[in-house]
This record gives sequence, structure tokens and C-alpha cells, in this order.
Amino acid sequence: MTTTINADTVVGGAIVTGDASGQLGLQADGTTLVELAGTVVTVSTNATSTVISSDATFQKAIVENVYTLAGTDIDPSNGTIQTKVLSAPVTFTESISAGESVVLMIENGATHTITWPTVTWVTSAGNAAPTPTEKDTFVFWKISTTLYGAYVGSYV
Amino acid sequence: MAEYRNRTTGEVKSQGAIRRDHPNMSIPRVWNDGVCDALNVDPVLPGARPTPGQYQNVVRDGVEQNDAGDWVEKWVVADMFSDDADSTKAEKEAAYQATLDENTATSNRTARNEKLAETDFWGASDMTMSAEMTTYRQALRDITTHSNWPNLEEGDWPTKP
Repeated sequence: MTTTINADTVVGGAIVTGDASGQLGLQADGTTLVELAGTVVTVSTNATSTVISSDATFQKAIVENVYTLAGTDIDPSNGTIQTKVLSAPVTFTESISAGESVVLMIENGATHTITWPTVTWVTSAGNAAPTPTEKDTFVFWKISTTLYGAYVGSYV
Repeated sequence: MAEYRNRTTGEVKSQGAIRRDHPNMSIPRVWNDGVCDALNVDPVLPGARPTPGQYQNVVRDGVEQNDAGDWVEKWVVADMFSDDADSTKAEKEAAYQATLDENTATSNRTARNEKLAETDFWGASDMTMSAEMTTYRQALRDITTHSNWPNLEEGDWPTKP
């Protein structure tokens, strides 16, 4: 039997499907509760993001947003793969929170200087800002308040 | 080693030193005008070196601008020696020249001995040394009495017959 709800409806308790092997419920405290085959997955939100409070397994590809960085702030909220073509010397800032990471691909580094925020560099030469080439890839991630940067390499 | 002059302070540093001064900057391997502008430096080009006189050296004396406005290495001639409490400049120059002469004499004696060794076989009992060879070998033995000794020129050596 199908019940159609055509108006706002306040429900005091969970809405439970009749199939015991796959249930969907909405909790009264506003947290969304998904229960599938007896496994509870809690999905909620905080001020900035959606929170999945259990291990997640993706059996297909995860598509990340590729962002063309027009400004100079490296912010994973724009996309975790970012690209930038330099036409002048650049000074980057960062808005990376602890636990976040960004892949940054830069072109024209062989002809322009790049000034980074405070970075602990992970390179074959130790903690030193790498010498850029025409096309380079970097990865940045933050642990606590320390921003790490790895020079992946050149793809000229 | 490439050098660069800071446009504000006038300080001259190598590429490596400038890189160390900018630990948070990725700097290209080749420094074009844009890179120099970003670093506020000018390249220092090779400068002409003067020819030193006797007992003089050519030493680096910072940088200077050429007629084109480029910064170039500045080289000057400086005396190798100067007066001090122990000895005069002239005494030091004489001692230095004596050392040079002794080294040259040692080198020339070695060369002389090698030339003699090349013709030693003419002295074997079953050989007859020609008069020209005898004269040549005697001239080699007398080379240390040559007027130019020890600073011989190529033409001062006797010609092997």
C-alpha cells in the first residue's frame, strides 16, 4: 500500500517501512537515520559539512570536483583537485582544515616565483620549497595546525 | 657561480644564498627578468679582469655598473705583498722570486736529465758517439750556466743532433 503525503507533516516518531530488511527512519531530533538490513548509518550535518558517522565503503568511483583556481587561496571546499596557470609571480594562502587535503597542479612555474604559506615540505631534498618546472603537481594536507606539502613531480 | 645584487640593499649573493633567504618560495631554475623582479635583484654579469704586473694579483672588489647600466663584477689589481713589522715588501718579493726560481730550476734539471737519458745509449762500449752528440750532451750538462738560467726559453735548449 502506498501513502502519499501532499503537505508538511509533523511526525512524532520514526517513519518505518514495513520491510524488515530495509528500513528508513527520520529521527525526531533532526538527525537523519538510515537503517539498511539492520545496519544503522547516521547522517547529520554540522555548520560546514555533512557528517557520516560510520565507515563508508564505495564500490564505484568517487568523483571529486576539479576546480580552476582563479584566486590565490587554496581551499578544499572549492574542490580537492585544483589547477592554476601562472601568468605572474603568485603568493598563495590556504584555507585547509585539519584532516583535509588538496591536489594542486600548476603550470608556468618555470618562469614565475611561487610564494607559499608556511609549509612543512616533504620532498626528496627534505624540508625545502621545491624548484618548480613548467608543469608541477603538489599535494597539501593539514594535521592539527601543521600544513604539509609534498612535491609529487613534474609532468612536462 | 651566478651572482645577483639586491636592488634595495646592494648586497650581492649567490642563487643558493637567495634561495635560502626565501624558504617559503619556489624559485625557478632559470631566473628571467620576471623572477629577478619578484626577488628584487639584478644579475651580476662577468666583468673584465685587468692584467696584473709582477708580484700582483687580480682580486674581486664587489660590483660596478657598466655603460649599459648592467651590474658587472669589479676586479682590481692588488700587490701580493706589503710591508709589515717582520719584513719589507721588497724582501717578501725577493723571497717569493727565489722560491719561483728554485721550482723552475728543479723542473729544468729534471727535463735536462731526461734529455741526457734519451742519448745515454751512445755511451755504450760498442757505440761510437759523434762529435755533434758529444757537443749536444755537454751543452745539456752546462745548461745551468746559461745566462737565462733557471728561466729558460724554448730556444735556450741545445738542439738534439
